[in-house]
Formats: sequence, C-alpha cells, structure tokens
Amino acid sequence: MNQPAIVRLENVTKVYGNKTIGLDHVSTNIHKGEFVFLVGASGAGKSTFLKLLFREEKPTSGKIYVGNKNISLLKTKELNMLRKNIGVVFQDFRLLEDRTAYENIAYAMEVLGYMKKDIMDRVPKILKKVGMQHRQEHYPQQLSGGEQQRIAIGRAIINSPKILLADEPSGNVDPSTAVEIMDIFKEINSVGTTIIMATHDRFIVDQLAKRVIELKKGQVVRDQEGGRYTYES
Amino acid sequence: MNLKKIGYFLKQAFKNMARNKVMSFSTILTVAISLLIVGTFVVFIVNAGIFIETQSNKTQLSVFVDTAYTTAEAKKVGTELEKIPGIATIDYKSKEDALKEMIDKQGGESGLESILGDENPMPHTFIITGKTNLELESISASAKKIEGVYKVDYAKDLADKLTSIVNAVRVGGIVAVGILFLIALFLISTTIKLSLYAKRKEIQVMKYVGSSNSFIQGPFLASGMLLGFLGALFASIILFVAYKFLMDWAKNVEFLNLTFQGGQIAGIIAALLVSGILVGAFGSYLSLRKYLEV
Repeated sequence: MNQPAIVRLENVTKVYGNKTIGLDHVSTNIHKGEFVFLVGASGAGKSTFLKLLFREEKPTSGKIYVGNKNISLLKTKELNMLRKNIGVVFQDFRLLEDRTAYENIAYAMEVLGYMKKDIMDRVPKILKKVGMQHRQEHYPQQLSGGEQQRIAIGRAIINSPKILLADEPSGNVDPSTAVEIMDIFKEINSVGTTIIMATHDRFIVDQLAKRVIELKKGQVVRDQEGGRYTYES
Repeated sequence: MNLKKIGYFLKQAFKNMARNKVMSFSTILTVAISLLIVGTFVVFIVNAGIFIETQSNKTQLSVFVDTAYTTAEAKKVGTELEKIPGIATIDYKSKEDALKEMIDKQGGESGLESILGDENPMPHTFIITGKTNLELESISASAKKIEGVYKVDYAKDLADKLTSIVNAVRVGGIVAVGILFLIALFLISTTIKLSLYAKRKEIQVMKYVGSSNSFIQGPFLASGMLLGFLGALFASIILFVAYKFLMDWAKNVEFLNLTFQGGQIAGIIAALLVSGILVGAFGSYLSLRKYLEV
C-alpha cells in the first residue's frame, strides 16, 4: 500500500508489572481503511495490542504512532483527541445498566459536550445503522447479547472515529448473531474506517478473508493478507 | 470553562447527591457541625478580644490619699507619685470633685447631700495609668510605700485573667478546628470516593470516548463543593441565630460592652461559606487524585 500507515508499531515491547510479557518486539504497519484480525491463543498479546493503541497501556519500549503522532508522548488534551478518533468495542459490551439503548449511545456524545440538538439528530441515525432503532427504549438487561453488542458498536462509532478497535466482539454471542455483527463491522469498514479486531472466531476470520496478524507469546508469527484462521491450540 | 459546562456539573452534582442521600446528608451534617464549632470559636475569640480591649483601657490605678490630708498635703503625695517610673498619665481628683461626682452618680434625689452636710468622706485621689499594663503592679507597690497613701486600687488581674483564658481557648480552638476540618475533609473525600465507585462505569466510558478531564472530574468536584457549601450554609444559619440571640442578651449587660455587629457576623459567615466550599473542593480533589486515573 502506498498510503501512509494510520497505525505504526516500531519494535514495541510491553512487559507488565508482574513480568508478564504482553508484546515482544512487535513492528507492523496498518493502513487507513484496512480490516485487520488479531488472532492467537489467550495471553498471546491481542488485548495488549489493542490497549496500547488507545493508550490504556503504555509500551515498555518501542514507539507507537497513530496518525503521525507518537502516542506515548501525548499530553492529556492530545490523548483525548486520540480517543475521540478511536472507537472501542469490548467482549463484555460495557454498557451502562441504568440507561436505555438510546441513552447509552447518546451518553458518548453528551460527555464530549455536544449540543442536545446534535445528539437528537445523530443518535437515531446510528441506532438505524446498527439495526436497533426498534429497541432504543430498552435497558441492557432487556436486550440479548447480540443486541447489546450492537448498542456498544453504535456507541463506539457515534463520534465517527477513524479507527475502530474490537476485542472479541463476537465472543459473547451465538454464531448467527456473530455473522450479523460482522456485517455491521464490514459496513463501517466500507466507508473507510480502519478496523482492528482481536478474535477467536475461526469462522468469521475465514469467511471475511481479511488481513490476519497472528500473535504467539507476544510476537508476530504470521502477517498475511487475505489470511485464514489457522491457529492451532 | 463556560456557563453551560458549569450548569452541567452542578446538575450532575445534585444528581449525585440525590443518589447518595444518606451519605450526603451525614456529610453535610458533619461539615455543618464542624463549621459551627469553628464559627463559635471565632465569634468567641473576636468578642473576647473586644471585651478585653475595652477592659484594658480601663485598667488604671486609683491611689487614695488619707482622708485627713489637706489639698496641699495631697499635692505633695502627688509629687512623690510622679517619681515612680513607668507612669504614663497621672490625674488628680480632689476630695470635692470626688464627692460631687458621687452625688451626681447617685442622682439629685438621693438626699445624700443633706445627710452628709459639711462632711466629705471622699479621699483625694490620683488616677494613674501605666505605660503598659505590665507596670501597674510595680507602680502599685511603690505607691503603697509613700506616706499618706492609704489604699491603692486597680482591677488587678481581670485583664490578665481574661487574656490567659482567651489564649487558652484560642490554642484549644485552633487544635479543635484543625481536627474538625480534617474530619470534614475525610468525610467529603469518602463521599466522593463512593460516588466515584458508583459511577466507575460511566467514568470508563467517558475515558474511552475521550472526554476531557475537566468533564470527567467537574461533576465530582462540584459535588464536593456543593456538600461543603450546604454544610457551611447550615452552620451559618444556626450561628447567625445564636449570635443574634446572644448579643440581644449581652446588650443589656452593661459591663460586657458587646453589641450586635452586622459586619462582624457577616465576615465570619462569609469565611465559613468559603471554608466549606474549599474543604469540599479539596476533599473531592483528594479522592479524584487517588481513585481516578485519567
């Protein structure tokens, strides 16, 4: 690809306080609009990879660039800017239980100080995009796992991030729902949003045939365009 | 920081308070009690100060000359008195003046004048003030040695006693105030800690979407300040009522020389309100710093 990388890791190592190795000298480039799967066994470093990208963790050594910025050096305001440009989706959804589907998505705009008018204008569009407009008044515990994940995706893309990170987004849903959720990700990706997804879902990886980065004990052991989920446990 | 943002913080602060009613109420109560005690000490110290000042001005020696002494003889005593070191002023009051003063004080109708006839039981008196109150004791001792002086009177240690009492109260007060402030601080920071815990998921979401720190911390800071302010407000109302009541009573007690002073109590209340808000802000800051990694 000729485009400059939107994410660049240079020799990144992450060692946690208890000496656990998260990533071990990882270098890679991810370009704008790519859809990348991170695969590997539990503890291989997939979650660490994602956490480093939105700076929930800082690397022990090496450099991580998002856009053109070394994100280890960001000041608080720049860090907030970074996070506005990165959406995150988790396996456990992390929705607010005391708020409806609509309010959960609206919340992500509220806390960025958007005007009520803008929020009321944008949230229904996002609800429609994730196919949840008919369930907007429901609370998370009234929704299925798949529906909750749709809301979580809606919240992650409400502020139109350039990069969407997903940590096992289909981990808590049944296979057919997982396919529907992947359709949403594909659609988001189709408008140019870069997606980096950690997953254990062999079927999805094989079906989508996107770039696959396989991690093992914190190291990249495979980086393959149009790859398959060949990881054997 | 715009008005809309402050409005949002305050709204969140009220919501937090409504969500933790019991904890918020006990925090407000503790802050109120603490600040009420603080305020009481301040009122006491200020007024004791005023009282002592008026008393100190009155601290003077009265040297009474033997009643048998004539005016000329009394003047001689005066010359001796003037030699005593440490005297600032010395005023002579003749027997006659003293008697007249007493009759005036008693009022014309007392009949004192007719009872006494030509008798004048009053002595010649010298009224002495020392350069400082500390010298009164030695002046008194020296004066007593002069021939013709039969009595030296002064409100010896009223002022001294008051000063030492006020100093003790002041020291005790500062210690008590310090402890109470710490308790208030601790309670506010605990309340904020609880609401931080209750809202940990919201905070997490806020961080993930890149909310600014002020947006995350603002509502909690506002909560703490609100609790502190409400506590101080309670304390101020009680203090004001008590002060008004006390001063209405003190007004009728002549020697106290204390009256209701709006400026004084307004100043103290303003200080309490500011302290309440500051304690609240600092208490929440402590919790935010400790429990909120941004």
